[in-house]
Amino acid sequence: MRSVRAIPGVMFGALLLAAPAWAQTDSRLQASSGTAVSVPAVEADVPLSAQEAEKPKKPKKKAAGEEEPKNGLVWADRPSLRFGKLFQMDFRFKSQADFRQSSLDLSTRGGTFEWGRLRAGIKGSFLKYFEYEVEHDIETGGSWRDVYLNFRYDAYAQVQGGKFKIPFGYEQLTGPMDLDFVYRTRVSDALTPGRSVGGMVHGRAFKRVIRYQAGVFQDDGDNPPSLDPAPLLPGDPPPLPRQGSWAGRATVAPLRLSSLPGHLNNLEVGGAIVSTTIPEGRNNLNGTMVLGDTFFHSRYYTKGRRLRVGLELSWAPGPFSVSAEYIRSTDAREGVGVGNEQGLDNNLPDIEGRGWYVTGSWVVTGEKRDGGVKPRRPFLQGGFGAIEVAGRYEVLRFASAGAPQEPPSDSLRAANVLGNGDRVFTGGVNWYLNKWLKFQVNGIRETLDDAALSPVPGQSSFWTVVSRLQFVL
Amino acid sequence: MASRRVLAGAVLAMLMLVDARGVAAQTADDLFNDQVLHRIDLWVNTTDWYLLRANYQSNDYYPANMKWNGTTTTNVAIRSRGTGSRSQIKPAFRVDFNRYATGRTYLGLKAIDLNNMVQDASNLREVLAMKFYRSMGIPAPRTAHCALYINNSYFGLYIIVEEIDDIAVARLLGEGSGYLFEYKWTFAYNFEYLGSDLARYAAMYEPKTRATESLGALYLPVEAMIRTINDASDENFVPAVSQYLDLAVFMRFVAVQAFIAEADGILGNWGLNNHYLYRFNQKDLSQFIPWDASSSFRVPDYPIHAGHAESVLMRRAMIVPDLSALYFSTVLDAAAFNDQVDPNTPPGQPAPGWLEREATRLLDMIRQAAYADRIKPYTNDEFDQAAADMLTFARVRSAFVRGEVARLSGTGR
Repeated sequence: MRSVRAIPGVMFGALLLAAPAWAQTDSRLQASSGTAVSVPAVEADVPLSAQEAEKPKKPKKKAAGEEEPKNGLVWADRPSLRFGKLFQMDFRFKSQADFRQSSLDLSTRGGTFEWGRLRAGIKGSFLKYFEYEVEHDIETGGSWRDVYLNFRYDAYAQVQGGKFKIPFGYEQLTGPMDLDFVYRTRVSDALTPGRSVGGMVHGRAFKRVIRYQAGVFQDDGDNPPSLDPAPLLPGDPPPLPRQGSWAGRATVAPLRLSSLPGHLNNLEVGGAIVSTTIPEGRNNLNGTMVLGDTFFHSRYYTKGRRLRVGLELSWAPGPFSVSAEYIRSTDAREGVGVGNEQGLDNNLPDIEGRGWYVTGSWVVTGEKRDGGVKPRRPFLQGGFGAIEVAGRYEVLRFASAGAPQEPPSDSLRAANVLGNGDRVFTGGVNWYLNKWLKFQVNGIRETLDDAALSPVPGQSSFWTVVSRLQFVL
Repeated sequence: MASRRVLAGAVLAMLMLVDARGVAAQTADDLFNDQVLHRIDLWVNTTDWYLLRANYQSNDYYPANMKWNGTTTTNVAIRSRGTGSRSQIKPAFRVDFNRYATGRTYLGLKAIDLNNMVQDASNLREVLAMKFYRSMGIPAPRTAHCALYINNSYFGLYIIVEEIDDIAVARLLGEGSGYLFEYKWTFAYNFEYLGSDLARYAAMYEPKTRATESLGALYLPVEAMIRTINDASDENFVPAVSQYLDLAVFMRFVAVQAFIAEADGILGNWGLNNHYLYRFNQKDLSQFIPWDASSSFRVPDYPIHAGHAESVLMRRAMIVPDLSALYFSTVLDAAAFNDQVDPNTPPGQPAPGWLEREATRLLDMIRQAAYADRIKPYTNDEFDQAAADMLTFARVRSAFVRGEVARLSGTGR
């Protein structure tokens, strides 16, 4: 935690160093957008760990009479403080407001209106080689989100440190403002590790055919957010803190080697792995439904290695996109059984979470999907914006690995745990009004394998309709 | 340590001889067969096992596997149980079969209790008392002795007790869909009317079935029963109270309880205790079921009218000649049953009565296991003495009771 707190201090220290230069510049705000500014060194909404997926921007040819980029406080789709290549700081704001209806009782699930996200932060670069981001939830009790510094020696060799997402899960690494749907998939929510404090090396090579990320982190991320401590017995050593984790992710874009045009060759396949050690406690990964109801609880004792393995595919040819992921997690249960004639505290089969999804989308108005939809004719600026339709099917299941020959049970030390699964179909329409505003409507049909473990016992299927208004600066 | 191993080995060898039945045809009757010393194995994670004993006053459940008669049942739940018998050294257990597997039963049972007998140095009272009740036609839970092994080591001598729930009540009374309450001792209470505040009755009678129903649905009939017991006129006492209690059934129950000298029962020395109350479905009629007889058989000359004056119900019932006569005749029936000799006893041989025979048989069966029980809160000498006292009770109780009946009723048989 101390190290997390220290990172903003470094950032703001850098700001203080840059302050005298700022004082000598024209601080007037540029009124127009998209002109007279340099290309930001860091792309909006996408964490550095995912930026590598985006195409490099070709330098724009300056039109006749176009002004040189201004220094000082400028407007570049958002307020930005710039001093040539020496320093850049974009001021960011993200908000999402959700309106929901469901066959489930929403009065106990946050109500019909909910703030999806409400965040503010800064993002930018300095001294040519360094990039940074600091973001905080500004809701009551909010927490630090991304707080990191990236050293970019070259595209193929970069080092990043701080708090950021462990490189695992294509959808999880996609910024929340760039999602095709209001909610992430159940499999991403349940089986990816989220953020942690650590460091990683990453980069891309061979004309972005290969990308890699590899790092070590202080724990297994903030998903799930906390660990249930095992009870201490007399003589036991003090409880172990969360163990560190290591992670690796690599992707290949084979079509980039072909002669296909650029908007077709962005097919990318990859794999990722995260490994950590979980101390004894009731800490198995849990599964939640769209509205947060738990269909598989963190109630079983686990101890030992937690291994997450993922495979991913993404392709965005022109206005279309398709992506898919498969993720498997295993939580070891070493010595947490009740024992038998052969010995006490036996090992139990791992608890396995397994899920996949397939999603597809089509920008009906024809804009390119790759790198985010940017309306050619923004709403109220001579057009209607951009319209996209999308569909997604996903499955997430939890059970004991190996299915031992005993009846399933929800005993905390059951060899064969009482598994459950969730199948979700989501259909949606996205309306990109302009580069800052997006409106999404999703219809979600969710079906649980075991109706007895449903939030409404005996009922296994539920409808949810959610609309989201998103504003990003 | 060596002697402990020898004792444990002796117990194991004895169990192999005594409980050498096949694994086939397992029923609840087999589990409660008191002709054998059962072996029950429990496996509990060592952390949970420590916690259960450290927090023995808590009702927290812990997962376990249980083996009986060659069959292992996985994912049972165990917890410490009991009131006066709660123990950290030798915990009593509730073994719940469906807590971690909804709807599951084991041999048709939802749960069993493993009583530690820490309040009974003879290790006999519970089993003998419940068998005495059943033999006299009083519905009572089934019991049997068992050698309990925990985590592959002999732990102690216990008794398996049938838990009183809707399944047991259906077996005992013919239906189990009504309202079942377990009496919780809170103060010396003797059926006095406590007013119309249902919470006062709820504090004594904990619902075991239909527990989610309203206070009124649960306790208005209880309040009405106790009010009627107190307020009905002498002339109207029997018809009025009969709406709530079968008084003949009640009198037979307390008569048997008096014979076995139960000092902590319906007419206990500290007020009502150790019973369940079952109210039949869609009726106001209720019936008592005995529970925990660890205080019985202690004093051979225990008065057969103990508690009569204190209990409003008993005091008023004994005024009714037919009920009084039924009470005394039932006490005498119990005495006759106690003295019943084995018809196959050869002539010229000692002919002990039923209770003495049963006590002797059980002692022969459990003695080695009791000796090997290193966590019982009494010595082996105290066990032997308590067992001898039990046999003395069996031999002399009937004569004393007959004398008391003659003295109190002026009749005698």
